[in-house]
Amino acid sequence: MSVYTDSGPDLSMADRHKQAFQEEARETLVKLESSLLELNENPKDVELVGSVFRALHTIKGSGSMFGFDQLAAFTHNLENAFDEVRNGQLEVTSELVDLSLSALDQIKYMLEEPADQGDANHDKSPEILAQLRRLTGTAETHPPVPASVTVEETLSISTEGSCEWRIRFCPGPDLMLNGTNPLLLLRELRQMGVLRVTANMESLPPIAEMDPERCYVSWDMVLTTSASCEAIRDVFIFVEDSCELTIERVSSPLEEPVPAATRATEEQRAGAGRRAEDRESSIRVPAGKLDEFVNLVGELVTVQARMSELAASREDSDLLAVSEEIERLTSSLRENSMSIRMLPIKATFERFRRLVHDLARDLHKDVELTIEGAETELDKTVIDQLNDPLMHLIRNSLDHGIESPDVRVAAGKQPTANLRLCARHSGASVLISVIDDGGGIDAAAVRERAILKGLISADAKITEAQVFSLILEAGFSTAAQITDVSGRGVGMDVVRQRVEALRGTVDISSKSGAGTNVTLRLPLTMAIIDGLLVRVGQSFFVLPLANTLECIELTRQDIAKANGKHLVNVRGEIIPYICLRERLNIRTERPEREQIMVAETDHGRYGFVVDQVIGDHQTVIKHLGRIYRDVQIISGATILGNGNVALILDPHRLVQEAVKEASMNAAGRPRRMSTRLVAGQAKNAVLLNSS
Amino acid sequence: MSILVEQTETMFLIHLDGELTISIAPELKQIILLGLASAQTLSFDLQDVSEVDITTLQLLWAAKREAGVMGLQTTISRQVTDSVLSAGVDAGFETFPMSPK
Repeated sequence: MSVYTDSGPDLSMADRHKQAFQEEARETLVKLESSLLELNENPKDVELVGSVFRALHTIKGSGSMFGFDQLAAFTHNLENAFDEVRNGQLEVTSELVDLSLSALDQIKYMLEEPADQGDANHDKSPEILAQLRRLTGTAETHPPVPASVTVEETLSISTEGSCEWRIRFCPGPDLMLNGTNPLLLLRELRQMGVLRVTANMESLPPIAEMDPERCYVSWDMVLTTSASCEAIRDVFIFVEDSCELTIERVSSPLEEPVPAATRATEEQRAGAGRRAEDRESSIRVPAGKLDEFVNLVGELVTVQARMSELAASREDSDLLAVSEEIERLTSSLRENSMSIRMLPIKATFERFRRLVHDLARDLHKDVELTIEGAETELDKTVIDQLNDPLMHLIRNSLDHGIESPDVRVAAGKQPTANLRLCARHSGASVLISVIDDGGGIDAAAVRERAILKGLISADAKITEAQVFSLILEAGFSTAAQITDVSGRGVGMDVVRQRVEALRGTVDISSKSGAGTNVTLRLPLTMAIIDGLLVRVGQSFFVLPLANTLECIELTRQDIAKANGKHLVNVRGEIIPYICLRERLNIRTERPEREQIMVAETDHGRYGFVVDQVIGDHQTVIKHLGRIYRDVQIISGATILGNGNVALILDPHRLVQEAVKEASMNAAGRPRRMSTRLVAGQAKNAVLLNSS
Repeated sequence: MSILVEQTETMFLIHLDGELTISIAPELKQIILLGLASAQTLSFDLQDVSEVDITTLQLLWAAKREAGVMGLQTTISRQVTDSVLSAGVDAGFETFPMSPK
């Protein structure tokens, strides 16, 4: 089951249906755009033409049903053009595809119901329709008015006290063999009020495979009538057992909607064909409700942790057994609630096909976009924030990285450049990469620019990776010319800010002449993680378990062997460590034996020294609030079973800050004050935010 | 009701009259398949048809779709009564599956 989320607050039923149509239409438009771009590469692909036609048909039919008459009328013309393509009367050309893409932009504009609809500055429909007419050689057409309902009949149908009903009628395949004529049912509905009907032919197989006595058509209808739901259902009384029928009130003077559904029997549903089997059931859920649900699960996890602690402290085997069962159920509930928030990144990636197509055209470059790992799932919140950063990266790649075909050929490359969008999981993170085979980044030019801007000194000794990371600083741009596409030095800074706001990192690697790889490392989820609870002094902290490799002991002897340097020998590998006591300025007595948590970070393997490792802890992340937003090494806090607050440490940021400080020390710059953070202050912040 | 076929050099014409309902649907399907196999313009004469039901409409719709895939044309050769045309609209098609010439 798929769950779609929308952000609507309390809306009337009619508004909700309209909003549902708008969301579905947006999704259909994204797929339509992909299909058109694919059709541009494969103009003879009959399946693609069919899918474009069906998508347009759906948008037109549903648009008409929900009052988007202008949109429906506009789409009708584009649908006709693709009907001609299907019939072999019109060829797919780049001109038709470009025009269709422009038409999709117009449909998107109309879908949002802007107040200025009809304004010449924004309404391109007359222009597009004129070009469409020129291409197809036809006159502008409008969706026909149903011939069976005359104007007089319309006026005579009373709409006083009427409601709108949404009816979905899917006859079983043997309906007609039983002597039923669906046309008569539809005509009977028409007599009850104003009826808008759309036939769905998606289940119709090729004619050679058809059983001509079976009904493959289903119908979506909106009926405006003063009749009751029972009266509407009575129309189908003799066929209820052999069809799928849904009758829902769309608008009503009453607050509560009254959905009425009748399902087919099991054997008839099994025989209903592809239509019922292939359709994946899904429901739309407001995003706020989903967040609330996840929050409650988080609270349950916290309370369950307290119960486990209490059960362990009392020698009551029954209580312990119940506590373990609750822990198991809570863990399942937590995993389920997390999975609901997880969505594949495919929709985000597919959206960029159009961007690449248009940019390549504007820049006169040949670019082929490849998408890998589109099914990789990540938290909805994270996905929502990725659009802008990825757009900037793609624009930069096309504008600065990828060369024109002539230059590429002169360099011995293929004229068509390759741009890859990749996504994959890596532990508790997801890696999203934008990779091109362009000219790469000129490290020397970047360094020179950084010196000019005062970001580094002229004699600074930094690695190539560190040079590339300077590109992420605000106002940095080595572009000789600022184009409309990029070069203002704003984009990469925005990328860094957005990614860091998601507790992620940006990594840039490049080879001159070969290409550039920009990888975003982002957390899989923002809500609950598996953590390792540790203690330093009287303070508790959580380290993400996904990063943690092992735990080893650190004695005074080990410290002495390293001559005071923060290094430890782990099976022949020298691993640097950060003493959290020192880092967080915790001034309690240091124990004889400490523990080093060895973790994998963006800077390699590092150790974090703590007094005690307590154990695994399902960590519900509570944000500390704006006052602590600049404290990068703390990603949040959690409430323990005993009511204490534990801060959640970000191992990557801890190491990053330590490395930065060490570089500054080496360059002779004043050492930054280390972060002072007292758990009690953070606890107050957490309690304030929870109230 | 009856179904007659007339084939010329360029056209495969199917004459239909009476009530086009489920009872003739299997026969109509076979004739349409023959028409598609002829690789000619597939034309339907519905002037004398008094009634159509869903089985006929979906066959006509499927014929038009299949012909399009094969690069063939489909037409209606003569006038069609309003009641027959409106059956298509009543059934939720924007227009009758094929346009009268």
